[in-house]
Parts: sequence; C-alpha cells; structure tokens
Amino acid sequence: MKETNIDLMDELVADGVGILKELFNEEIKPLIQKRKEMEHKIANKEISEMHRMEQEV
Amino acid sequence: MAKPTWEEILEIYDKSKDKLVKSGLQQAFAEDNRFYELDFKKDLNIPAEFSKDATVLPTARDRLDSLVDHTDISNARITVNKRKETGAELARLEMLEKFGLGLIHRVNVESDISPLRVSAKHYWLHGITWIKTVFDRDIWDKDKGLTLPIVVVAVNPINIVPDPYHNGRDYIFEVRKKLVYDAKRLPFKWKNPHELADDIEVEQIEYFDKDYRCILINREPVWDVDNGVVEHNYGFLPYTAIESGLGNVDVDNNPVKRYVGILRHMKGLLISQSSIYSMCDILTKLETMIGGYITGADASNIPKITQAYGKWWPMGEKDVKFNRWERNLAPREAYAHLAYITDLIDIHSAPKSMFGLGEEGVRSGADRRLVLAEAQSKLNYSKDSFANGWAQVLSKCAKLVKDVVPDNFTIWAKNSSNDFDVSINKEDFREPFNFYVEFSPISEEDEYRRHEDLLRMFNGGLYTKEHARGKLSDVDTKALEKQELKEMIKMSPAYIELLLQYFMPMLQQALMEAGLPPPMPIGMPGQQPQGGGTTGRPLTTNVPNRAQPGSMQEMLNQRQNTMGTNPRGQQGQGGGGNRSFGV
Repeated sequence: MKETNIDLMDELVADGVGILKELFNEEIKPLIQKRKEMEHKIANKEISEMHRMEQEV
Repeated sequence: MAKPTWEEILEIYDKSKDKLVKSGLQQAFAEDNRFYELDFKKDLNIPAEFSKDATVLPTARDRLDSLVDHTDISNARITVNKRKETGAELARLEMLEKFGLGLIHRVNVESDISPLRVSAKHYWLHGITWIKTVFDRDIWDKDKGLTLPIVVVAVNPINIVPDPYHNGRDYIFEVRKKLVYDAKRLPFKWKNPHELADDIEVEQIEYFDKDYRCILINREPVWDVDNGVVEHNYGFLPYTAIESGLGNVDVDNNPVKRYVGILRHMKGLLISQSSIYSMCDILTKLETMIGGYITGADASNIPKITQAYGKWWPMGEKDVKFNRWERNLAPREAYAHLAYITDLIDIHSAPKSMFGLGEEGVRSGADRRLVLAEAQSKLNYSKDSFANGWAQVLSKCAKLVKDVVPDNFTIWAKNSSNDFDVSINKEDFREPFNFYVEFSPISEEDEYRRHEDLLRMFNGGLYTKEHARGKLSDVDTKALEKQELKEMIKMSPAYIELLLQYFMPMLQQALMEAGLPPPMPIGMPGQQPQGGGTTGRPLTTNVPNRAQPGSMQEMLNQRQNTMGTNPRGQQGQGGGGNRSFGV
C-alpha cells in the first residue's frame, strides 16, 4: 500500500497523542494534584480563620 | 537429468579426483598455504651451521592479509532493483533487501568466524572461493523459524573436487576426513556397517548436482532411502564459486593457471627476500659480537676467557696477543638488493599505500590520492567480483526460501545503519532475484569525499536531492522522504491545533475530576502579532539577523558559506612541494 499524506498525518497524530498522554500523566497530572492539595489547604485555612473569628465574636 | 546411482557417483568421483590430482591444483593450493604459513625456511638455502638463525620474513602474510582486509566485509549494503515499482511490489522488494542484509548479518554474528572473512582469505590465497548454501532441517525442526534455517559456509577449495570439464558447474564433490565417532553423530548418523573403531579416520564424500545429493562415508552411502541418492528440490547447485580473476583461462583450461592466488607467482621473490635478509642478519650478528684469535707463546696456556661488558682479564707475564677477526659485514649491494626485491613484491602484490605506508615521491594530498586510486584499481575487478559472487549467494538463499524452507521465519539485523526485525513471508519470494551487494569503502576519507562530492553536485544544481540520496547505498531514500514530510507536518499549525484538540479535553477532564475550575482558553497557534505592533518609523534601522557568535547556528552558516569553495578541492593544484628543499 502506498502511503498518502493523510496516512502520515494519522500516524503522526497517533504518535503525538501517545506522547501527549504520557506527558500529561507524568507532568500535568501531578501539577493538578498539587494544585488541588494547595486549594484544600487554603480552604481549610480560611475556614479555620473564620471559625476563630466567630469564636472571638 | 537422469538420477544417478551411488555406484555411478563413486565412479565419477574417482575419475574427477584422478583428473584433479593430475592437474596439480591441490598441490598448488597446498603450496600457497605453505607460503602463507611462512613454512619455507628450508627453501632459504642458508648454510647448515647458521640455519637456526635464518628468519622467514612475514611478507607473504602481510601482503595477503592486506588484500583480505581491503575486501571489506563489514557494512554490507544490499539493494535490489526497485526503480519502477510502487505499492505492494515495492514493499516486497524492500523485504528482499532486508532478507539479504539480515542473512549476511546473521551469518556474521552467528558463526565462530565470519564465512565472508574465510572466503575472502581463500579468494586471495587460492584465487577461488567456494561458498555453500544449504537448508538446515535440524535447525528448522528445533526452532521453527526463530533461527535462520540457512547455512552459509566457506568451504576450503582444497576440499572441493569439481567436475573436471565444467569447473564444478555441473556437479561437485566436497571431501573431508572425519573420525568414525563423528560420522556416527549428527547430521548423517552413519551406521558404521563394518564396525570400525571410533578413532579411525574415514573419508566423507558429499555429492551435489542441481537435483540430487548423495553422502558417502567410507565409500558407502549414508542414507537408506532412495538407494542413497535423494532429490533435494533446491533447483540449483548449492556451491558458488567466486574467482579472483588473477589467473588465466588458457586453451587447455588448466585449473592451476586459472585459479591463481596472490602468492602463487611471488614465491621466488619471497624466498629471495627472506634469504638475503637472513644472510645480512646473520653477518650483522656475527660482526656485532665479533670473536677473534689469540697469538703468542702462551696462547694455549691461558685460562678460559669469555666476552663480557667492561671486564678486563689480567694476563701477568704471559706472552699473548688478542686479535679481532677481520670485519666482514654484508656488502651495501646486499641491502640495495633487499630493497629492490621488496619493491618487486610491492609491484606484484599490494602497493605500500594499500597498507597505510607512504609511497615514495608523493608530495600533496591530491597526488597521494591519485596514487592510492591507482593502487586500488589494480584490484578493482577482484573486489567487484567478490561482491557479485555474494550477490549470487544471496540469490541462491532466496531460492532456498522460495522452494525449500517450509514456512515463514524471522530475520533481523542491528548495526550502525540497519536496525530491523522482520518476518520473512515465503509468498513474497518470487524470481527474478537480482541482489546488488556492495561492501562499503574501507576508508572514512573515501566515504567523506563521496558525501562531499554529492553535496557539491546537489548545491550546484547538477543533482536533485532524491538522486543524490539514491547514490548513497546506506541511505533509504523513501524512509528519509517520509521523515522529512513528517517533520514538515509536525511544524504545521494544523498539526499543533489537532494535538491541542486532544489535549484540552484531557486537561478539562482532569481538572473537573480534581474539582478545579477549567483553564483560560488558549490562543490559536501561529497568530503571533505581525511587525511587533509598532506603527510609524522604527527606532532603529533593520538589524541583520545574525547568529550569536560561537553558536551552532553560526558554525552552520560558516559551513554553508564555505561550501563550493572547498579548500580540499584545490589541494595539490598548485604543484605542491617546497621547492627550496629541491623535492
């Protein structure tokens, strides 16, 4: 079978998506996880602050 | 061709052997071997009292090994004619190329010593090499296609008894001695009908023509089936002869004149060289540790005196006088003659430049290159003939796959220019098989010049990129074109956009799962502001886009600028040499 440009594009997209998935799992997902943890921390801190202020009042 | 009986085969063998022995070919081969092994001290004719000091110079080995090394067997490049083919046919031919490459690679890595190297040595030593290609049923039964089921062996020409009238093109006998113990084992499992002791040597005669095969051990057939002569289905004679072309096909078709190795007509010179060297060497030794004689009335009454460094012997009142023998070194003419003989050997065999030594009177690089090219042209036919012979071997192996190997099998190669592991599909093996074998140049300089030349042809517009690539046998033009196209696609905005389409949903989903807000939309790739958004007159004039000093880009630019005015190309054009030294 002679390869057309579309075949090549398909091959490249498949390669690219594979690499993208790998990168996503290795780099982006941990970042999202970290951000999630940070947000939780901030939220907890805000809640505890509010709770302290309520107590003071 | 009618099927021969084993008795007829034995009769033909005796006749062929008789003719071969009478021709003196085996004796000539044995002599070639004797000189290669430097076993000709007795021919030097050195007086008996000095014979232990005689030296056989290793010139014969050096010259022959130099030629073998120049029959470069590494980096084999295999191509098949696929100029007009496309589609499935192209894929089939590409697989044939891989088969050829893989076969040579496998026989090289899976042998104790590469059959190519062995055959190259036979080729230069005897002027002929015989390569045997057979299907190995035992390997096939054991591995079922995981191991290469084809055996490629370089058979020593002294073990071959060819048919006397067609030089082995009709039928061949391969003869070797083996112990009864070995004959009883694989592959032939000889039954030893006369119950000979295991340590007795018997003769094994293997007969092949293009249809039949017969093995005789101790002049009796090994196989019980088909009266000892079996049909092999190869469709060809599995022995390929490659001739060096150093001999001559004379009117009598005398094999001794036809199969000539590089040492055959150099023996006299080799003997002279070692003989004169030995005499000069012996005389120099004698004169360096020179002895003498003692005169005087007490000459016979002195104690034993030995020669020792810095030692003086007190003689008291004794009347003795020590006299040195008259000095008698080898004459200068002997050394001049030795040099002359060495030159004659160079002329006949391999010039100095072929084994890395400088030629006399060569001044510039271009001149040296010219001399080297002349030296190589002396052996060009033999080199080409060797590669063409191996192309024949590959064709025979391809026929084996087509007609004999029972099923598909895998083949692989891994070296600097090849890396593949493919399944060989039997159905794809169809004649004609037209392999072209090239053993890459031995010198990096040659390779560099070839690349440089092609680059200039391309830059000068004489060659297209595709044509220039086609000239390089280690370059897969189609694969490179595909890679280029891939690179272009990877750089295109459409491709990046496409990847983003996959990326964004993944990111959004991950964020959603984490309970985080979605990201800000990303701008379209390739929509960078034009002209930097400035209006009116710029603050500076156009700054030339130069690469940073010392950067890779700058080096590339410099290389580009010097292309076409290559200083190498001018080498040697001005006459060369430093005239003030009168060279």
